[in-house]
Amino acid sequence: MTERHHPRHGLDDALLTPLRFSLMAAVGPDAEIDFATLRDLLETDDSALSKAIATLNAVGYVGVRKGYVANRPRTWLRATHGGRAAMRVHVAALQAIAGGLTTSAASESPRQVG
Amino acid sequence: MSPTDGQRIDAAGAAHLLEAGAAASARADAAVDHRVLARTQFGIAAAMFIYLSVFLLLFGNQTQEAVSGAGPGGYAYGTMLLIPFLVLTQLVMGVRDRVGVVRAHRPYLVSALIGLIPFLLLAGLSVLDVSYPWGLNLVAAAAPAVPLAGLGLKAARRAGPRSRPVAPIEPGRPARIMTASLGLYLGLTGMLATFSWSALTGLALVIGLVILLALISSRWGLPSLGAVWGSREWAAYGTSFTLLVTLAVVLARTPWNTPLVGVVGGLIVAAPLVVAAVRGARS
Repeated sequence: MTERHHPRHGLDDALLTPLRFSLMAAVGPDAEIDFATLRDLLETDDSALSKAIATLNAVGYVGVRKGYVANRPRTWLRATHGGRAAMRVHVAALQAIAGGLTTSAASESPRQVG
Repeated sequence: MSPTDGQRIDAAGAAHLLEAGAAASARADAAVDHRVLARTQFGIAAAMFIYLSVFLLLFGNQTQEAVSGAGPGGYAYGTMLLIPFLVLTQLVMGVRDRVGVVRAHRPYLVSALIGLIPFLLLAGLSVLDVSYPWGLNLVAAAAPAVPLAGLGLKAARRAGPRSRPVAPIEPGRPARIMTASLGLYLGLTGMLATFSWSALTGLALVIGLVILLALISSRWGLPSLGAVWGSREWAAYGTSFTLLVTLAVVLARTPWNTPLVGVVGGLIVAAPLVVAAVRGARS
């Protein structure tokens, strides 16, 4: 079996759609974001976001926490350890594929906030 | 999960994804409410310092006989310190839950956990009846609180005008009932500590606490209550917290560890939260 060098092998199917990738970028390594805020940040709708979360949750990339605020149910999302690791590999592969096409801001790995 | 052949991506597609991710990341950054983060971190840091320092003041650097002989409570007075602190940690979770985006800041939290080591060491020395300089109590209490306060300071420096102000929520009837019940629970914690059967009631109170903490994700949980509290309820909780800790010190370290002092003290501890709940109903 030959060794696989092409950066596309580092890509992750679960992170290939803009919505799922943006979701993982938004939660980053250390944030917890509630569903409604995430929907507004990603400029999407409830249904599309629910599907994206279900996919990422199924592969173990996001953790879901449920609770209540003022008697109303709320859902919060955060990246799991596996999700953070997968994101690092995926971003590195995207950067390798994109080569010189990305701006410096866009090519940064998702947030390392101090 | 590896990509299928049908989902190959070219350079432009990769650049597009990276740009979308960077934009989402920047928007999430902008949505962080550093003001709330700063308040909650300062609150937890202060509560942790009070809890650890008073705990060591009561139980550290003295023989087990001295602690056990301090009154019917003995080591059980520790429950009076632990309960309001654990309750506070979950109430604060509710405040953080109200804002859309919160940060974990792992290095600070790890530092706070490591900072608990001096406290555990001093607790171990006390159990072994080994004496140490009194000032170490304050150092051990400050060790985990300082990283948390540092995190609060960092958040406070980044706090700017709110882009998405959090609308106030008026506590409803269930929240007011919970607030009053919490006040009575804290009051009972102080009230029952002076009786000879305080070990039994202490156990019952701890079981009650475990049940309360286990409701974390339900509408009856403490985070849900903390989320709807306004400044009146928070001021009341701060007062009850301080009064209960003070009562623990009085009962454990003075001759006034009588049931009468416990009962009166417990009523005073309960009063602020009960009054806040009643005033909330009238306003």
